[in-house]
Amino acid sequence: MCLTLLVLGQTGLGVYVMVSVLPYHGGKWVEQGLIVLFAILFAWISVGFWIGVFGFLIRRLGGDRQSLVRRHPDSVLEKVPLGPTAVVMPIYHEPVRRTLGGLRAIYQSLQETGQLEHFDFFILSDSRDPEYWLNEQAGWYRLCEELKAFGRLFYRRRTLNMHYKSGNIADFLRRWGRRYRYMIVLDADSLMQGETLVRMVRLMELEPRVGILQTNPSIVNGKSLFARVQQFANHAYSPLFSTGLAAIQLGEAAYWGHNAIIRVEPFMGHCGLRRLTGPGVFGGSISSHDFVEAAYMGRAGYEVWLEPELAYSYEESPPTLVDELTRDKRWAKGNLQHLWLLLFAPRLRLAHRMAFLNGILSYVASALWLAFLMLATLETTQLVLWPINYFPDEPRLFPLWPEWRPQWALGLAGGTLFLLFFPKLLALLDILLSGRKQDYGGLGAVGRSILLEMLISALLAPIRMLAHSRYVIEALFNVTLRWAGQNRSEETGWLDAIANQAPGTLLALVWAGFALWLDPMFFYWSLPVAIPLILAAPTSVLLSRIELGQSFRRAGFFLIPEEVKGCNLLEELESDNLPQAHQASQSAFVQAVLHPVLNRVHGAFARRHPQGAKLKRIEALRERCLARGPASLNSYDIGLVAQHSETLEWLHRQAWCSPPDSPWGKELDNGFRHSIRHHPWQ
Amino acid sequence: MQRPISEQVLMRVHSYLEANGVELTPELSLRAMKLVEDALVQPDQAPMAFAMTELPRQFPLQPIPLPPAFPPLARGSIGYGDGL
Repeated sequence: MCLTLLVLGQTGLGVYVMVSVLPYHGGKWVEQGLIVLFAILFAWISVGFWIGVFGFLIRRLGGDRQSLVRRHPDSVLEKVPLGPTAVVMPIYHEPVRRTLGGLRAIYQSLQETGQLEHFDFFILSDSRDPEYWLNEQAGWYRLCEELKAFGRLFYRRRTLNMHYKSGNIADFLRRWGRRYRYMIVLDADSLMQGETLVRMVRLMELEPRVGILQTNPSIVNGKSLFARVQQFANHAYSPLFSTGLAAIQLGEAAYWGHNAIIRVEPFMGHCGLRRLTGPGVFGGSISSHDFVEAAYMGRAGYEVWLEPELAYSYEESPPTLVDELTRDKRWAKGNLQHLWLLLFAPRLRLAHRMAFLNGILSYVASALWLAFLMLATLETTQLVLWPINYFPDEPRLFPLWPEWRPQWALGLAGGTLFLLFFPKLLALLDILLSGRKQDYGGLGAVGRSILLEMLISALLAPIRMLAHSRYVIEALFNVTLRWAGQNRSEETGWLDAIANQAPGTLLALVWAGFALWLDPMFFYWSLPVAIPLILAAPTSVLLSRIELGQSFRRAGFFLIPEEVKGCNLLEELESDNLPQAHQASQSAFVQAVLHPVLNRVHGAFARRHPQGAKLKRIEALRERCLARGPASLNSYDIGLVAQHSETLEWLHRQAWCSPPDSPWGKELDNGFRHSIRHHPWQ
Repeated sequence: MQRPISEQVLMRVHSYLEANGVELTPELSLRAMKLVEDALVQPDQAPMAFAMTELPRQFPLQPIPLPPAFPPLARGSIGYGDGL
């Protein structure tokens, strides 16, 4: 209620000033459109502002007394027995070494708590490309060996990939859900400390009405400049915003799909996701499942909490702007789908409907901003090019005198900037007052980093605005969506950047040129949007550079506490420490055929006794593969062969018996022997 | 210059044993060389095929235990509450 009043009051004031600034004070349809768009966007920014302010005040007053963590002292928590818990990691075409490296770090951290016996780990793969899933299976086996995790670390690959990640989890629950009281969901890039996992289970044991407990993951392991800026912003600002958000939402928070613990029984009972039955984007599988599952959990009478004080929960940022926008394209469609549920799903709590609205506006706000710019251009064009119209729209008795109030306009612009940037300054103040400046490299370092982050985010905002607007429009017209793993590692090339950003750059050049011709003041007004769009390609390339990110790190920019103080979990992710599934010079399929142990591992996962035409096809493929080598099969054929256990075993025997000058003989006598020598199995 | 067939067969045998985690003691090395000799003198099969077919019979290849891929099933169903 308090937040609502503050936002409405502030927005009302902003709209009043906006009406005063407009020459006809809302007397034309263009100005009415501007006022409506301004009101929505201003309210949207205002919500963020007040959440930041609330978060600052709560932290200054000693923290949120309503939080779950503060209800139970450590002396009580540590005596709580643990219920059986599954730690699940759904993956799809993720970099295997990094994924398994993270899982290994979590496993070992949990082992150090002495509570490992209460946890099972599941890698739930939806990967289709055999090069990926063969790698995953080999990596899983090696990890079981290394961690001595037989009977505790499991791997399952779905052969029928329905309903994306939520379908993957549902499949797991249908098969094994009843074995566990809780499920901790991780993403492929998640890292969580063992103590945090144990604490979460204990809190769930003490709070039986809690259905989902969501941590506030911090971003780590950023290498490129883009990722490092994101991770710094997350560390610097997120404590404020997450504290404010958690205090406002209490037991009606959102679930973010990972780094959270879920009570299995009510989740299985109430959180199934039916296909939507609406038109276009509002039909089909729900792709952004997490907010919906939280809403259904709330509808079932359970609470969903966000707990920022559960520390040592981490994730990674997309490494480049292009990767972030690729991910956003998926999320934009997923969030827009929620409009159907917002309007028609029965008995959802208001807070969860507001969460849907918040998610929708995350992307629709960009389209509204774009519409605002277009209307502003139209308004200025009319004012400059057309004679002054004293009777602009409907017939009236008295003329409408347009008024120009440039000081008010500047004041409104300043007020908007204040709402956008003041919370960031509050975050800096919070860092100083809580004695954490050394965690960021000192006062100078954190101050410079915040200023530079503000500049970079101002450069990125118009680029995101244009991209998100496109995604919203594409989603509303229901362009087919592909689900794909995120690129977590590659830099952006110049050709890719130019191709991606060319439309926005051209649009900005035309718009700025038109503005310059139209009116100098309008031209200057357009620059904060036009310049970033014109520079979008070099911005995208330079931010993607890993070496540039590391240079900034060495210069003391964008440091985070985990880098300054060290973090065991992160050290496990150094590239030399990452687990190796197989020798990189040979494909996973070649290793699956040749390596005696891996051949048995993959054979155990594969199927037996296909019939009829499928069996004939596989037999023909294996003969071809033996005679002409692994390169004679395409990816689909490799998948068929590698999923048939008898064929894998047959190829293994035949390959080892093959003459030295045959394709498999060459694989054996060159690459394979080298891999055995340099990566001994035992 | 291509390696002689004896060397190629011996290297293949060694590779297979190493890949199975077998440590090549002097006794096992001699047994490997005897296998190669038998492969070279027999007239029925290509030496490589003979050696690799005979190898499992002559060497102690203990199957390495595999971890279970998943625990026993405990089937359940997913409910939809009051979904659309």
